[in-house]
Amino acid sequence: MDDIDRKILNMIQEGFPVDRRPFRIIGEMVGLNEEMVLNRIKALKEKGVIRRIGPILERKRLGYESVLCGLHVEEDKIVEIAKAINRHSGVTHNYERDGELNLWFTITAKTKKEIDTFLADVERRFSIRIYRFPEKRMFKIKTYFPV
Amino acid sequence: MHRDEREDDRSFLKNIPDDFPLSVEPYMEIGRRCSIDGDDIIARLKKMMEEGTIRRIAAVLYHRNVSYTHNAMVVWRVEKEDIEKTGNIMASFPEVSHCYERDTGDYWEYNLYTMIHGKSRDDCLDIVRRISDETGKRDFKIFFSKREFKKTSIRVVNE
Repeated sequence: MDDIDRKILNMIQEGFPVDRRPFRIIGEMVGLNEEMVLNRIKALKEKGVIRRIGPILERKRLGYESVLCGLHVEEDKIVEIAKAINRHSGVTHNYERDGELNLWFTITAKTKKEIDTFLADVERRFSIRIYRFPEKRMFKIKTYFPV
Repeated sequence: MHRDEREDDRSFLKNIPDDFPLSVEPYMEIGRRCSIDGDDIIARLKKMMEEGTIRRIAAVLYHRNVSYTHNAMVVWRVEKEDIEKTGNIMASFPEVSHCYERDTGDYWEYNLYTMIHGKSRDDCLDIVRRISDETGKRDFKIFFSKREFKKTSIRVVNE
């Protein structure tokens, strides 16, 4: 990764041009032609630097409900329980963490009821308690990694 | 927003891939795949960005591969009257990607939740220390991530 790659990455993390020829626009800003930019971005994706380029949605505007959940599970059960949770397509993040609550995930669905039903089912199956930490107010959501 | 508009936005988004094709004209290619004019796709996406339904169209990185190898969720106990000020200070830290006031879940008294990213464990601890100093909040808990079981984005899927 060189300085031009870094410049491109920082730029497209802020925003990817919504235009017929987005790579030409990026090229104009970093002093490369369209094809060179496209090849660099392809290479950054192959190297596993770029996860994806696409829309970042605002779930509330689309009418989705979401909740952060935390639970304590025994170490020997964690993979099995994490997998069962991940089976729901609305689970977007699921991490094992250090601490008293050691599994944390977020789940999104069209209704609260769908979320509650799913969580109750997981609780019953594994005899565990899932704590819910619903959002009251958003101060920031912006993932940006200066490289 | 009106219910029908939401439904309309959701059904439009089903045509838009999570990860754009890397071709010279990606929006045109998306259009070809779903038989919508590419210029109409561009116009619609711009409109949805203005309305706030799409926060951004952007690259999402694998943070571990750009040396942000450590992340921690830090939960803070903040008095109600201090929430607004404290939340805004925490949000101003570039290392903080998410900052929310949350319900305490009948579990504890922590009500402000931040996600922080750093290049090492010490780096994360240093960020937490700086946030604590700047906000004056001393009651917090740090949950470092150990293993990632899932990390995707919110998507509109076909039901």
